[in-house]
Amino acid sequence: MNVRTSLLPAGLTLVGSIEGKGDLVVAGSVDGPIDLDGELIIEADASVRGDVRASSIVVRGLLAGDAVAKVGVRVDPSATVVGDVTAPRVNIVEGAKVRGRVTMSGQPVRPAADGAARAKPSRRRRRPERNAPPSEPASTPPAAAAPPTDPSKPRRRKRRRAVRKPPPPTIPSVQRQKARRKDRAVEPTP
Amino acid sequence: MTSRRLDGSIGPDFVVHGKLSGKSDLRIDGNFEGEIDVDGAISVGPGSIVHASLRVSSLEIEGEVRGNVGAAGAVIIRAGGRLIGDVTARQIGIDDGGTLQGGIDMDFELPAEAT
Repeated sequence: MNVRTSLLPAGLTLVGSIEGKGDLVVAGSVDGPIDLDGELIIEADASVRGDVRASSIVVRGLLAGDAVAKVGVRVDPSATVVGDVTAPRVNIVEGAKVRGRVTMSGQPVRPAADGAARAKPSRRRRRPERNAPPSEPASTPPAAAAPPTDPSKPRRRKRRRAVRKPPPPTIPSVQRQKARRKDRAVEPTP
Repeated sequence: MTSRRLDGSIGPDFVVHGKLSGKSDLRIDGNFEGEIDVDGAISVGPGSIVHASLRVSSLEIEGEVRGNVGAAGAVIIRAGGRLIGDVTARQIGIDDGGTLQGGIDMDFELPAEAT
């Protein structure tokens, strides 16, 4: 336990709120919200009745309230969670008792235009936009805004913007060189 | 004051509001507002500000405590510590550099000459 980890010990009960920066281990009982910029661990005999918000949450005891984490939530087998769990990653170990809505909100696998699920953004979709100027903010809506009203194209996700590369420049002489190197497997550009 | 192992600890960047009760030792380095009714040794660290009425076994103050204190054992105010409020305790110590603004109520029998 490093210096920054706080501990609410097993014998104590707090009726009220906790907020702060740093890690917190709850071994006692809390009746109220917890809002942390750090890791929250609810130990096996502990109970928290209230909404909790932290960077990452590990539940080994009782949580009666919603849990929202920035990184991930883990619910161990000894835990009982009654409430909604929202985090980019949620790991519920077999044996845990959970009742509520679980929402995993981050980095999903994006379905391609043909409906099959792909891990990477489809290359096929980039071609029509090859000649578009590289910095075109209108075509890439911000993450929070609604997608463009084009039902034929799948929903755009924020992550696509990060992996989009500028189209390779079309230099005829280079194309010919490449063609020669590949034993003219590719047709040279006229 | 015996230096027992302090199980509980509220870190310096924490703010706790509410009523704390139970049986355990606790070290408070952050800010606390409310009430503390704990059967244990409470230690208020140097940067800590506690706005609360306290009922504890023993109390050691290195930070600031605003509120009335009742202790079954000893209340010690270390250098740099401030207690603003009344104290009822079996033993009181104020180190050189500690501050108390308030009354002290200690239950003992006065010797016959002082009455």
